[in-house]
Amino acid sequence: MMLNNVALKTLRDKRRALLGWAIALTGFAFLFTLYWPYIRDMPSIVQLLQAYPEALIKVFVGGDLSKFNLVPESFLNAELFFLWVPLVLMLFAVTFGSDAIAGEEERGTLDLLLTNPVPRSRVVIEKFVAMVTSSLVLAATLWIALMAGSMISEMGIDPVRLAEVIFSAVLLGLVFGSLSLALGCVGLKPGMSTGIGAALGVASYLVNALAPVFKEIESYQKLSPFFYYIEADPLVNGLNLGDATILVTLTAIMLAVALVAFQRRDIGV
Amino acid sequence: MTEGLTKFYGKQRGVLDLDVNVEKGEVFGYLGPNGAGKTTTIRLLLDFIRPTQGQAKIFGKDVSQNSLEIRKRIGYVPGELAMYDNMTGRDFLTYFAHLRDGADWKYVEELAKRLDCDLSQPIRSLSHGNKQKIALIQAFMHKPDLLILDEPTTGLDPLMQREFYRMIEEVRSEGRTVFLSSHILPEVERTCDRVGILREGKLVAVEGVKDLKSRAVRHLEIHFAKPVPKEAFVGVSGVRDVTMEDGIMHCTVVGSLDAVIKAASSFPVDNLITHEPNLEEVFMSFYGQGGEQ
Repeated sequence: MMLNNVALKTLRDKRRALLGWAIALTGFAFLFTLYWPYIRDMPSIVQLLQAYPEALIKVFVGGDLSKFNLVPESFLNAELFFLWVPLVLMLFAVTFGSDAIAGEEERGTLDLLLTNPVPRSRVVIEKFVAMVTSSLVLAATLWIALMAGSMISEMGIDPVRLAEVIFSAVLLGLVFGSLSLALGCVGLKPGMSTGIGAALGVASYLVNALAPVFKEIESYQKLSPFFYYIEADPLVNGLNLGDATILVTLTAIMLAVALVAFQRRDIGV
Repeated sequence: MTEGLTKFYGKQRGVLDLDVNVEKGEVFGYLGPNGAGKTTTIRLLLDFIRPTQGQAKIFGKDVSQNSLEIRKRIGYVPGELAMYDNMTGRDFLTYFAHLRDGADWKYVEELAKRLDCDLSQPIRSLSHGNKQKIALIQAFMHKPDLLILDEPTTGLDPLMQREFYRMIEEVRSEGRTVFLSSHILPEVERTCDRVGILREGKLVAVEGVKDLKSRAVRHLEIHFAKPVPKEAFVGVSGVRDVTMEDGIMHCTVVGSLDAVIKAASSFPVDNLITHEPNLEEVFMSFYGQGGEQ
């Protein structure tokens, strides 16, 4: 069954990698939930955190920390959803996207694959579908781990809101994943596609995180996809449809570029 | 099949103004030294790369416009073989059969048996020759109307090469077509009806295999049990460049070996060795010094 088409075969190839990413991401996230009971009983932690330079706090845990030890959502936002979860989902999608076409081309298997009566566009779309599917699988394992942690630590996190913020992070990851896919389709090597995708992802994070601190980059914040992922605070307020639409549109543009570029160019040996 | 087909990589030549015509039902050899542009031609035919100028047609249709339809009816063995190392041969063939909307699995098993190919091993653990067998099965399994084979016998042992030649023979007898690229003259002589000779991106000649054989050059080495006068071979039909040293004769023979063997038969022969000439020498013998026609 897993050999029926390009998408399923790609997922089959990634099953071990996916397991590794899932263990790393969920293990890390689950551990944090176990800290919650201790943080909750530690009123002085807010003062402790506020002793750090403002810029440092903004970069690693985001904005308002006044409710850090009072509201579990604030705690999870600061510890997980501000940096780690979106970063991991983004890097996962970026490596997936750059491997999809550029990786297969570099390994030399693309020739043989395209000998079959399969349009180039279908190969790109099926690889994209595999990237989306595996990102969602990774997201689902994260949701399960955090729900379990929330129950154990009595955080009382809303399961739907939790799904919404994780989904928002998936949408963000797919923007950069499809960027890497497109770079590979244009003809960049997998290393370059990964590097550029990841570098732009991290840059977009930094712009969003530092914009409130540095006036010079304040006006660029709205150019950062990260802004649309977290700005509406989906863990508390739910997914903002406008923001989600922007992220989906960016992904669709990348996919369109990938399709057009790959259709036109020569396949490398 | 191609008209004025040209491909440049930047300023580097791939193939230049190529006109090749392959008839339905024939086995066409595409002969040329490494780097002559054989693989470039094939990758143009399969629409992996697009021509700078000119056009290629297969089954009467443009290869870029109708690539999908054409690829349905083609089997291909790449020259630079790269397969999914993490799969077994069986998984690999299953995957490709699905992408082709099925293959006759009985025929796959039959081919695997004939080529003595173990499909249960991961491809990464296979020798080059065994990988090549899987590539061959992959190309033959859906009984395509046209087989495009780029150096298909690379890594195969002589026994398997013979089996491969039989497979080619079957394809020919079923009226299907083979386009076989090779840099090995005897292989082409053995399997093909006609041969196109490619040199530095240009097609320099298309010959029937019979004509090719009649002009083929071979180096012959005969070890005699006792010294034999060199003069016994000078002037024999087709024989050139005779040297004789310690009862060992070296010479170059053009065309049939018949005359020289008959001349040697009056002396006691210990050993007889023929060396296949390299392609450069074949070109020289065809086109004289400098290889120009």
